[in-house]
Amino acid sequence: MKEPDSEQIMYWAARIRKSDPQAFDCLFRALYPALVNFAFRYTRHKPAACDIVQDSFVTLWQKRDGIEPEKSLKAYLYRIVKNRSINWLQMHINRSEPLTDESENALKANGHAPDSQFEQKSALAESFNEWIKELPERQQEAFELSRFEGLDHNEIAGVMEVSPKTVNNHIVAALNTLRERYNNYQQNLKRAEES
Amino acid sequence: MKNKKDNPLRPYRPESENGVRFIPEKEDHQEIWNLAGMYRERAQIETTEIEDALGRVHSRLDFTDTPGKNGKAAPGEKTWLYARYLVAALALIVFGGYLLFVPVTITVPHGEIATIEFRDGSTAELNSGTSLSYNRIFFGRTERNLTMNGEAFFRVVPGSETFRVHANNTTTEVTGTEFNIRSWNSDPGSETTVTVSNGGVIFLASSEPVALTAGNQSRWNLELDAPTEPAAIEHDDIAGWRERRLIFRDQPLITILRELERAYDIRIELDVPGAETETLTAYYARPVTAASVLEDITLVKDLRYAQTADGYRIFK
Repeated sequence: MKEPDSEQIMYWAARIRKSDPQAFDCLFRALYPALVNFAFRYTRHKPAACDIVQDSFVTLWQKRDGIEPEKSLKAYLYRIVKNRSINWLQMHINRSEPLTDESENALKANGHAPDSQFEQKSALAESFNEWIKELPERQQEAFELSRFEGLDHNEIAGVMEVSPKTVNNHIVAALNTLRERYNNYQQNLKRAEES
Repeated sequence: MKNKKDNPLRPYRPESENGVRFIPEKEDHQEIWNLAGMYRERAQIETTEIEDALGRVHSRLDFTDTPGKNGKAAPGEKTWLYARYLVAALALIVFGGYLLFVPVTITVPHGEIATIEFRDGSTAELNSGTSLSYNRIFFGRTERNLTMNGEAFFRVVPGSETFRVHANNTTTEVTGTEFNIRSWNSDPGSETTVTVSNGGVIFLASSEPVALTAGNQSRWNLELDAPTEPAAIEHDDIAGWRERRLIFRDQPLITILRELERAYDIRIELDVPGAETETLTAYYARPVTAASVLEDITLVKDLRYAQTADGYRIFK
């Protein structure tokens, strides 16, 4: 599905503020898949991701009076989905365990296997996903929000609670790391072909 | 467009102040940016899944004040449930009756062309993405009025009621003829173009009606006071889209890209500020791939393009 542009979302935001359920439905349909994927990034558990996003929309409707028309509703939703995902994680894994790259394994050990729909397709795809996952947490977050969720710098800054300038630095750093990884990968391929 | 070296941010939309998106500066960044997009691990969420989820959200919004986890029914809620079924049944009856009087709307998916036949025997061939609506009770009985957004080729059989097509503030009236209407509200000025291939029509937009005969074309958009005078047009140009030919005559780049998006069901990002309004003429007699069209466009306009997860991106 095509992503709605920011004007469209601003229009829906204004309508939702005036209690228009149709605008709410439009916004839900447009952002639900992307937000579930975003929540899954933290939880690695699809039913939980779906619950979190639905909860967030319920809250949005209940607090629709507080929608600030000039601020990005998209950033607001990503922020609450992120916070709730992290809360969910904290409730479902031992507090002593870090919430970083090991979280997936920790969840596996607890019996939450990643959803089969998320299985990766090719070797390069797998490598790319691996490299993105191995990026430092903040770089990864900024990169994914920009590249995959289509948020602009101010929106990402709102979600991550840093300045837009920092967001940009994170993304550039992420691209540099990925470039290095990709170069190595290609060289290894070449070597494998030669031998 | 050239960037200042010290400012890696480029306005995504020149007119908006906060819409700054990341746009890779260096070529090797660009490649990684594109590759990462192609290899995105992502769950496909089906439409039915979204609707189910929306249904659950709705039921929670209507009958609970606080977001509870499992939605356990409190004792007092049972009566509410029955009331809910009653209301739903009533709504269904009212809605069913209402449906009979509401216009039906047909929308053609991107990448496809559809033909529909009306009760009076007239037909409409609809280009990708076009939507058309009419009243299912009255159409062909007491009136023949259609409303459309998009592009369609009509074959109208003679009848006692005038056949009218409303499209983005214009009306085209006919009694029996073949003609093409192109009217996308997403095109600049919501321009409407009517081209007659057989018979004649009356084209009404703003005040002055224009009579069009076979082989003639007239245009109107929000910036014109009246429709343009009828102008002769090559017969091949009329509704070339029906044979999947692509014909662009001095059209703004943005119009052309929208057309490609609909025809090929892809998404094209144009990351070159100011390029939307540049015009281009191109003609493809045979079906071609989207990539080869973009290849030509970018060559002529001195731009570059790259594949993305769901289409292409054009940049400088």
